[in-house]
Amino acid sequence: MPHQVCMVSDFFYPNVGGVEEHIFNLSQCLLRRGHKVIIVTHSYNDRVGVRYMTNGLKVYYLPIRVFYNQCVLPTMICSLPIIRYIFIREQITIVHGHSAFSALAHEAMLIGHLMNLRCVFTDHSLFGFADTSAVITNRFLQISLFSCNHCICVSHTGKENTVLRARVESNRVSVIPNAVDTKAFSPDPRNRSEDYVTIVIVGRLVYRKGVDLMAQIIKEFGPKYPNVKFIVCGDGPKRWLLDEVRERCGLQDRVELLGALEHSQIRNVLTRGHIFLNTSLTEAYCMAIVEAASCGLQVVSTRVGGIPEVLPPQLIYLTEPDVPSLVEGLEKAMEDLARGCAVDPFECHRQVSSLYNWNDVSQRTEVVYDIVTKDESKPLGEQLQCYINGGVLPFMLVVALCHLILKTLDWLVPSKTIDIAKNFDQKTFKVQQVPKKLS
Amino acid sequence: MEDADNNTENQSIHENVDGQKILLRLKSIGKSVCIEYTIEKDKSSILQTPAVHILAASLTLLFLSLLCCFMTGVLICTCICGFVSYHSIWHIKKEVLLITIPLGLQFTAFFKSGHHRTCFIPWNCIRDIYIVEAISLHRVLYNIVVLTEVEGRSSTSAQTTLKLTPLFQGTKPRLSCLETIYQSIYTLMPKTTTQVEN
Repeated sequence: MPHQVCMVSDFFYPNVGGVEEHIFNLSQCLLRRGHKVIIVTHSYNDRVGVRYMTNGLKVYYLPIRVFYNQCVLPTMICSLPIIRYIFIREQITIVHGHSAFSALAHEAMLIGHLMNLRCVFTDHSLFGFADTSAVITNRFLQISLFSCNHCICVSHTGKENTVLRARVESNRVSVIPNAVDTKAFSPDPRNRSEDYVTIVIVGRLVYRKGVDLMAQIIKEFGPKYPNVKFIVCGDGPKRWLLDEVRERCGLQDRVELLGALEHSQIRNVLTRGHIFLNTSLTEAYCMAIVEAASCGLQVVSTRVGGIPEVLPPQLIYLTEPDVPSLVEGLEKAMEDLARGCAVDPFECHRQVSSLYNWNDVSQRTEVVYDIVTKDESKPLGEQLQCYINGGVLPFMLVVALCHLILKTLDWLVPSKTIDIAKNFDQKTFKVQQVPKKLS
Repeated sequence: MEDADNNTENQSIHENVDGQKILLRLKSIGKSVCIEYTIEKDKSSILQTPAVHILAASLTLLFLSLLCCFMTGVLICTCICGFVSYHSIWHIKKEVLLITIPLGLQFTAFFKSGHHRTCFIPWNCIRDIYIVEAISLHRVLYNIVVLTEVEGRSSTSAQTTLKLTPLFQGTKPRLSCLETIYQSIYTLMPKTTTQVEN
């Protein structure tokens, strides 16, 4: 049964990252499977309004300003009229929010729930339980997931984490891992240097990605192994640390800092390497290691979060998140490479291709959509009761206010005055150049 | 209706995005080289007349002056009267699109106050006409737009820029009405341009 799905998240193209890639690829596969998919996100500079992407994927860039860290301010009521308008004109049946950090996703799910639509939420991150920000975020997530029919996590560790911190029933949570476009990440061993062993690091240079560990490893490896080269791809607030280590150890010729690159350029960097190093301190699912393995690299990674579930043991060297363990892992990988025991790059690619593909992810997501479609709508009283049981009485008042605003909008802007949007027809669509002058 | 000079006129009633009735009048002059599209808001709604707005504002003024302290009432009602007056003067009651091939396109908006604003686009500047979606406050509306090419004004650079000019922004007709206009315009267009697709 075809569904009309609205993906909502603060993180989407032109922003680049795992969540953005996940939303785009999943949407493309669902479109190919005959579903209607639209994406709602906030504006990015002058990118406001309605845009179309590959295969007629429609994106609404709402005129809402970013408040903090690429997220909008969760006012709960300010963007309600336009989100309701979009849901009605696109005849949406399922609202799919992405990322626990996305305020827009939580708002849209609440509005969708009050409009008796089915809501699905995909959690892409792991959280702690101890610090203040984690406590607040977890509480907010718990409140938000009251209005959600089903949750999707990208790894079993992620599921465990979500069930604990958001207090969701485990039978309402499914695990659907991410995938990688393996055709775009094919190996090419000819690009590798024969004189050096190249270690590639790809990721944002932030604390969470273990930049401090990276710096220490470069410091230890540089003088010890003169035949080792590092290529670091990514940018972030901790870049200065790597710059400093490179300067101090005089490794300008052997440590290449490429800065942030476009996703399409990543494969060219990966194919230059022999070993991929991931030093993340927390990770629900690591796309970078799958992309690296798909390019035929040996992966050395920290054993944190959902990483042990991502690749089979023969394709990954798991280590503890500390310098001695990571150094040991790298040395073992180099030794295997020197002895010729490393898995062949093309065999590595074949194994990853058989494990991960977006069609499989979309099929499994479709099953979740079929399940939530069968769910019965909750009356308002029952919805509000959830908030009382959860001990969040003030939020219940916000939900009640949202309900009243929706009822007022039903009177002020009735559904019958809203034009139903035309669906994009892939069969009749032809790419046209801007026409010449008419005369 | 068709007269002896090959002039035809068709009328149809549509709705605008606010749910109000609008009248679409298509007037073809000559042998399909000149066509005029008029969209007029329905006059039958008594609530839309300026007299009713002013009356309502006056009554509010009276009521609030009695209810609150005198000065506050006057202040609030001055604001209301100001808004109603602005609305009455700058509210568009009729929009006319006149297409004359191969001269160009003339778009005129008639305000309630009696004055009007006209915009003319020469035929050689027009590249195409589209129906597009745009976000307007809390709504996503369909608009009919003209893609024009504006040539650089400076003598040093001959660079041209593309610009979208939206039409019928005052009467805001719904999609069905826009489609009628769009299809009618395309029957006038030279065959070299893009084909009409439903």
